Amino acid sequence: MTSSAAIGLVAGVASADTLAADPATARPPAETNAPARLEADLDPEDVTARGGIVGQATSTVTARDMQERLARSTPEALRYEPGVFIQQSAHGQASAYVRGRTGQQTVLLFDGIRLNNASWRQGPNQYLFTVDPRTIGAIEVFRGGASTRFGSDAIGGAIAMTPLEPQEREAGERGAHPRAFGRYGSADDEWSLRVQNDFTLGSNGSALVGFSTRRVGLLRSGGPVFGDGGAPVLVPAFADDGRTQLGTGFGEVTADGRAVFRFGEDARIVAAAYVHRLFDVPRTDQCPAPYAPRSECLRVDEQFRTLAYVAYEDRLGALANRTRAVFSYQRQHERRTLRRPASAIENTGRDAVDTLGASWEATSEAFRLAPRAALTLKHGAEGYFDTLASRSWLAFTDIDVVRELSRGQYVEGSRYLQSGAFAEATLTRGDVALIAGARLGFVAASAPRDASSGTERVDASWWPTAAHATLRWRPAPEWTLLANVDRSFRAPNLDDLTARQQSGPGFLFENANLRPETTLGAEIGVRFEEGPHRAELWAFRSRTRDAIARSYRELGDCPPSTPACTASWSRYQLVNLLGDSTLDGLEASVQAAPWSWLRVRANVSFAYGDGPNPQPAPVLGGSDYAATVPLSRVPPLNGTIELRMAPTRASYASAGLRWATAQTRLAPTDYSDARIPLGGTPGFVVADVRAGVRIDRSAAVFGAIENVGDVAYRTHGSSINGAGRSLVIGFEFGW
Amino acid sequence: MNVTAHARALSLRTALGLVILAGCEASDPTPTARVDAGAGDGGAGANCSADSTLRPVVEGTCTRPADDYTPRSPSSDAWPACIADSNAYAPFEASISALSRVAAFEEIRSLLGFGSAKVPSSDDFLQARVLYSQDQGIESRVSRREDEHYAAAPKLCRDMSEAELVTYRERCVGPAILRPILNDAFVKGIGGETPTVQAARIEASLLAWLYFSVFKESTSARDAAKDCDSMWAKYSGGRPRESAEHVSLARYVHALSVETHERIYDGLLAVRCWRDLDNPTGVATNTSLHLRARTQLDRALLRGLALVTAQRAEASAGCSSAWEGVRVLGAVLAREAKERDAAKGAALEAALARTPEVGGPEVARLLVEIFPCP
Repeated sequence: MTSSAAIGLVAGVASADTLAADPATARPPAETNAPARLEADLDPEDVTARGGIVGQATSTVTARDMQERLARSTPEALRYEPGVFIQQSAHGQASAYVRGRTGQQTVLLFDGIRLNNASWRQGPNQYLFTVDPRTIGAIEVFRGGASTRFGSDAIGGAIAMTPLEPQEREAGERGAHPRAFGRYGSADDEWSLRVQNDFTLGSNGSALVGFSTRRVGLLRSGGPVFGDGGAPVLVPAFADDGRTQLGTGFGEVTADGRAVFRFGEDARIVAAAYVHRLFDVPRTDQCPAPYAPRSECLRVDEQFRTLAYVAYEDRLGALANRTRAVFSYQRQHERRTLRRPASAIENTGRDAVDTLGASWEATSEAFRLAPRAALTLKHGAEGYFDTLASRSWLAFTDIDVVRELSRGQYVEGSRYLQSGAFAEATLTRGDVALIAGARLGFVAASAPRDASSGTERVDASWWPTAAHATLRWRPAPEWTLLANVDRSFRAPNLDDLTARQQSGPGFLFENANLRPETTLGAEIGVRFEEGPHRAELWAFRSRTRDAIARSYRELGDCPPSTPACTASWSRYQLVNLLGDSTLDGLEASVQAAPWSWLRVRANVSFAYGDGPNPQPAPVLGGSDYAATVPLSRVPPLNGTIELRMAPTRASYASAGLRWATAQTRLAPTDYSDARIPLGGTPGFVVADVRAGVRIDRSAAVFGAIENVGDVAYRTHGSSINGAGRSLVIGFEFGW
Repeated sequence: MNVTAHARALSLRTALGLVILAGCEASDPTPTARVDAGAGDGGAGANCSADSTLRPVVEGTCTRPADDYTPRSPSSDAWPACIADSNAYAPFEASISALSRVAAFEEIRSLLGFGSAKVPSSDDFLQARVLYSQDQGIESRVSRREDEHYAAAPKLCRDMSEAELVTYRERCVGPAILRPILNDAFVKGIGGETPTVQAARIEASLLAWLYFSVFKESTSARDAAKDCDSMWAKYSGGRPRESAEHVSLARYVHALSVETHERIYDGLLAVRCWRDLDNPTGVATNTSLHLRARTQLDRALLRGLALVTAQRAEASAGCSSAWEGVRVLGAVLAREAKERDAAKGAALEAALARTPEVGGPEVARLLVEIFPCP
C-alpha cells in the first residue's frame, strides 16, 4: 500500500459522515504520518499516530467535533471527552483536568513540541487557552502517565494537538483556497473572524496562512451558585442583573503560517510559526478579589505565546523508518497589572520565558519475526532549555512615580533544562502485543540568589527515570483487553522552586529544596469495536511518591521582605508529601450508531484522590486532625451524552448533555479558596443543542443554543460560572 | 499576475505584517528617579513636636457598669468562667495577618515621625506610601472599612460607586472619608507641600482606621471567631497588656493613660470571653453577651481615642501642624459625642472649625468631658 493510498483510506473513513468541507485541513493525526509500508497483518494502532501511545486510554477530538461543538477555546473543545474536566480561572483562561490532574502535571504538545515550560504553576493554568483552536486539526488526549514518551510532567496524561495542514493538490488543481470563518456568541457578545489561505508554494510546497481576531465581552451566566446553607460564593462579582460576571471578557489576535515542502517520496520539511496574543484578560477571581473594592482588578494585559519551528521528516532506513527532527523556539510572555484606581496604585508584573527546543524521534519499520509476529521500535530524545525573565513594579498613577521591586514573581535570569531519551519496543504475536519502553531524563534548574528578597540560590539537577509496559490481547476481533503499568515523573520547575504569588487559597511561596514527584500507575481496560460501535471501560490507580502539594505556613515561615505573604490571610508553601498519595478512578465511554444517520456518544468519569495531610499532626494530638485528606480540586463524578443526527451528508442536528455531581471532598487548602463554594461545588446538568448545514462546498452555517435550561453552574475549582442560555452562530465561507 | 498569485502574495504580506503588529510587547515601566522635592518648609508649625505636650492623664475614680467583664479580677464580675479569665489574650490562630498591617503602620510612623519634630522628606512620604500600598496592606483594608456604628447600607461600600459612597459616607468611612484624606496627604507630602501637616493627617487617618478596625473586628467576630485575633492585633500589635514597649493604638493610649489602656484591654478580653462562651467553632448566637462585650470595648476605645485627640488638640496651640490631624480624629468622635450630649457634640464640631489657637483648648476640654474615664 502506498503512502497516499493509506492516507486516502483513513481520510475516507474520517470524512464519511463529516460536514467539514476540507478534509485536508482537518486530518486526524493518524493519517498525517501513516507509514508507507504498513504490514497488512499488523495492527494499525501499533504503527500509526505520531507521538501516540499504543494501548493507552485515548480519545481524539477531530476538527469536525470542534466545529460542531462551536468551542470557544481549545480547552472547551475537550468538554465531551472521557476523563477530561475543564476548569476556568478566568474567562480567558481554562485548564483541562486529565484523570484528576492538570497544569504542570499534564503535558501539552503542539505538533509534537512540548509547550510546558518552567514557569507553569501548580494547579490549573491558562496555557492551553493560548492555542488557537482554529489552527488545530485534531486533539488527542492520552489519559494516564506518559513520561516515557513525553518526559517530565506527564504524570496525569498528555494533550497532543495536531495542527491543520495545507492541502496537497493534484496537478492542475487551483492553487489557492481562501476561506473565512466567523462566530458570534450571545452569552459574552463574542465576535470572531478568521481568514486563511491555503496555497501552493512552487512545485513541491504548500502553505496555510491564517489570521484571526476576537473580541469578547462580559460573560452572562445562568446566575450565581451557592454553597452550603445558601452561602454566596465570593467570586466572581456580578453586575446588578445578578447574571453578568464582572472580571470577564478579553481580546485576542492570532496569526499563523505553515509551509510544507516535500522532497522525493518520503521527506518533507515543515516551517511553521504560531502567534497567539491575548489582551486585557481579567483574572476573574481577582477582579475584584474577595472583599476588595469593585473597582480593583487584576488583569493580564498581555498573554502572548509565540511558537516557531522547523521540522524535518524522512525515512532513514529500517531503524528510522519514520524520523522527525524538530528545532523550535517559543516565547511565553505575560504582563499583568493589579489596578487599584481609587488609591491610584498599580502593581505590574512581567514574566517571559524563552525556550529553545530540539527533539528527534524515529520509528523503525516492522521487523517480521515470524509469520504473525513483528517487532517495531520507537526511540527519541529531546531537550528544552528555558531562560526566564521576571520583573515587577509599583506605580502611583496620580504622581507618575514608578518603583521597581526587588524581584518579580520569579527570579530574573533563572534557567531550566528538561531533557531525556527514550526507547520503546512493540512486539506483536498473533492477537497479543507487548509494548514496553523506558526513559532516562535529565532536568536541571538554576536561579540566582536575591539577597534583598531573601531568595535562596537554586542549583539543582535530577536524573529521573520513567518506564511503562502494556499488554494487549484481542481474544476476538471486536474485543481488546489492555493492561498498563507506568512509572512517570515530574521534576520541580522554576515556579515550584522560586515563585511567590497570590494563588486562589492564599499566598504561595517557594521551596528551593523540592524533589521530583514520581507516579506508579496501573490501569486495565476493555475495548469493544464493531463497525461504528465502540465502547471502552478503564479502571486506573496511580500512586505518587513525594507528591508536591501545598502546605499551610505560619507568619514566621514567610520569606523576608515579602509583606504580601505576612499580610495574607493564608500562606502556603509547596512541600514533598511524606507518604504516598493515590488517585483511583473509572472511565467508561460508548459510541453507537444504530442507523447511519444517528450516532450516540456517552461517557462517565470518576476519580478519587487521597494523600497524606500536608500539615504535620499536632504534637498534642487533635480530635479533628486527619492523617489522610482528599487531593485538591479533583473533579467530581461527571459525564456527557451526545446525540447526533445527520439526515443528509450536508446537515446535522445534535444535542449534548454535560453533567457533574457535587464535589464535597475538599483538600485543606480548598477551604480557603474563594472559588470553591462553602462545603463544595454543587452538581449540575447542562444541555446544549446544535445544528449545521452546508450550503455547498464553499459555505456552511452552524448554530447552537448553549445551556438550554439556563442553569446556574460552575465546574469545580473554577472562578467563573458557565454561560447561561445563549446562542452561538458560526459560518464558513470560501472558494 | 493571476488571481492565485495575488492571493498568495497578499497572504504572505498579511501574515508577515500581522505577526509584526501582533508581536509587539508593551515596554516595561521606567522607574522614576528618586523623588526629591526636598523637605519643604515643613508648613505651619514645622519643627515642633506634638508629643512635647504629652503628659499622662491622672484618671479619677472610674464608675464601671456592673455588667462589665473584669479579667483583672474575674471573680468579681458576673460573667461565666471563660478562657480570658487568665487575663491574657488567647489567639484562635497561630498566625494573625493583621500584625503585618500593624507593622506597616509602625514603619510609616517612624518614617513620617508622627508626633515628633521630624520634618519628613518627599522620599519619606514615598516610602511610607509604598508601605501603605503593599499587597494586602493597609490600603486594602482602608478601602473596605465600614463604620459598624451606622446601619448597613443597601450594599457593601466596596461595591459602591463614588456617588453612592458620598451618600453613605458615614457608614463607608474608609473609602469615603479616610482614603481620600490619605491619598491627598501622600500626594502633597511627596510633592513637598507642608509635610508636617500631611504627616499629621496621615497619622490621624491611620489611627482612625485602627479604631474603626478594632470595633469592626469585634463585630464581625460573630461570624468568624478569628476576627477576634485581628481586633486584638490592631489595638495591641499582638502584645500582652503589660508589654514594656507598646505599639499601634496601644502605644498612644498607654502613653496618656495606663488605666484607659487597661480598660481597653479588658474590653478586648470581654470580646474574647464572649466568643469563647458562644459557639467558638461556629457562628455566635448570644447577641446580648456580644453587645455587652462590644459596648464595653467601644466605651474604652472612645475614651482612648479622645485622650489622644485631646492631647494633639492641646499641642496644636504651639504646633499648629497637628491641628489637621485633630480635625480628622475629632470628626470621628463627633458621632458619639452628639449621642452622649447633643450640645457638647455641636460645640465640639464648632470648635473643630476654628483655628488651632482658639479651637485646640476647647476641643481638648470638651473631649475629656464627653468621654470620661471608662
